[in-house]
Amino acid sequence: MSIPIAVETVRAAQRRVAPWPYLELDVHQLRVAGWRPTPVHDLVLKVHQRCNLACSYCYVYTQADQSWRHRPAVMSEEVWRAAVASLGRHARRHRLASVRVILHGGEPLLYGASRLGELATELRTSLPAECAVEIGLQTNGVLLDATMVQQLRQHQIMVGVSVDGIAADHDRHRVTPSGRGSFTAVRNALDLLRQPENRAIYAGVLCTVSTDTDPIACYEQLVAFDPPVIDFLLPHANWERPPWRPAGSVAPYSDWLIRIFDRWYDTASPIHVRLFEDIIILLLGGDSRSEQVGLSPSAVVVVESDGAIEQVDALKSTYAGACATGLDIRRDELDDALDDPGIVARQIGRAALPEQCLACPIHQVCGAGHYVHRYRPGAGFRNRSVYCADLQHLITHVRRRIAADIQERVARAS
Amino acid sequence: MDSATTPATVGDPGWAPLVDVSHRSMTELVADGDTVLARCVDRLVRSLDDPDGVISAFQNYVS
Repeated sequence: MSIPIAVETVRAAQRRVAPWPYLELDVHQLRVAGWRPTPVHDLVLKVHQRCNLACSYCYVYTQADQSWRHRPAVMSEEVWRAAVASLGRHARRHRLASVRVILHGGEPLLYGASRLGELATELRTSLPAECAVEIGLQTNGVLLDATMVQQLRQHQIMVGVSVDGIAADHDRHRVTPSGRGSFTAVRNALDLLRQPENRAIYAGVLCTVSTDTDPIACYEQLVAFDPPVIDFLLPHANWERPPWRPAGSVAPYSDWLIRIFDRWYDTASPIHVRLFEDIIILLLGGDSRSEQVGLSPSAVVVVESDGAIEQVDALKSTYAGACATGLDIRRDELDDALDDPGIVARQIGRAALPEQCLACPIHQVCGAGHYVHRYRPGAGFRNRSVYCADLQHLITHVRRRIAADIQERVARAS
Repeated sequence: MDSATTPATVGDPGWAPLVDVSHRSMTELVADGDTVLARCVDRLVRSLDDPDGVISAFQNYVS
């Protein structure tokens, strides 16, 4: 099968920067050996390329890849209609029982409620009846007023909000271009979502870990927003740009998370915390739904505002062009993306891990962490996580806690 | 394109069992209400019936 010139050009560039997977992973051989890709389940549409905030750690604007500068600010109707049609064909071809479409940016609410609603309506019309569709967006909350919430509710668009704990901590990083904090606006937005009539579209909150903050104050603030689910994200980092660590600290990110884990675990009926629950389920022998831990296949594809079919946008934190596949949603099928070595690398579980990880008893739980945290210039992505020590520390702690809990239950039942 | 598959885990190096509960009923161990452990066991059991298998979801959206 011949590879289109646009795709081959991108792969040639990828091979130079990331030999694994682009040079060393033999996708053809995997197929011959019987491996088959997991179809796309999460389609991320970059409906708006710009943002009304200028967060200090944003992987879209402040890190290695600056491709946002050259793309249209707004996704055209032609592009989103092509994406919707393509997803419909993909769902039919693979007889998918469910898909998720995530409206993302930049800040997706800049796209406007009317266009978001039109897109949602078209999605529900175009997908086969037997395929359930969840439509969601992740917002900074600034534009989420009563009118916007009412319109999103009308179109059954779920809303996740990014918030980094208490006001002082949130406002250090999540600021307007003029440097003004956004906490008050986000709190108002979350107060709206908490209202009984809006809870059905309240998806949850995302919080980026910041080790120089008080973890318990952060957690309690997030709990006060009463979300259905919380997730904590490690800041994107890699072996070229390691995460900030205080002098003398070995695993500050896990130290921070463990403080919250213990508070959470000891609470009756606590709010769901995705990262913690995924680790526990992995320890119990199950599979993870998170990119941060585990070896479950990633089934995410991104469509950029210019129609480019890309890999997960967190790769923008590694090197310029890291997300590229050379495919375009107006010309190519989503199935074509499933041949991209970068996407395949995230679907093959243990086969993507280095020997060092395979020799570690924790690897089936940590899964070498988030794929982007494994990047090392000149080598690519077959490395342990730059957060390896933190993951080991956190997982060992969680394991100790649930082992003690189970032992106590066994003793009680005897 | 063929149907989805999940990479085989047969033959993986072992992760030592947490606690041997093979002689216990699941309900006996997680019968104390909505604890974290009970909730996770419940999700694990439900995932066994997921026709699409467990996949890792887009990290920068939570639901």
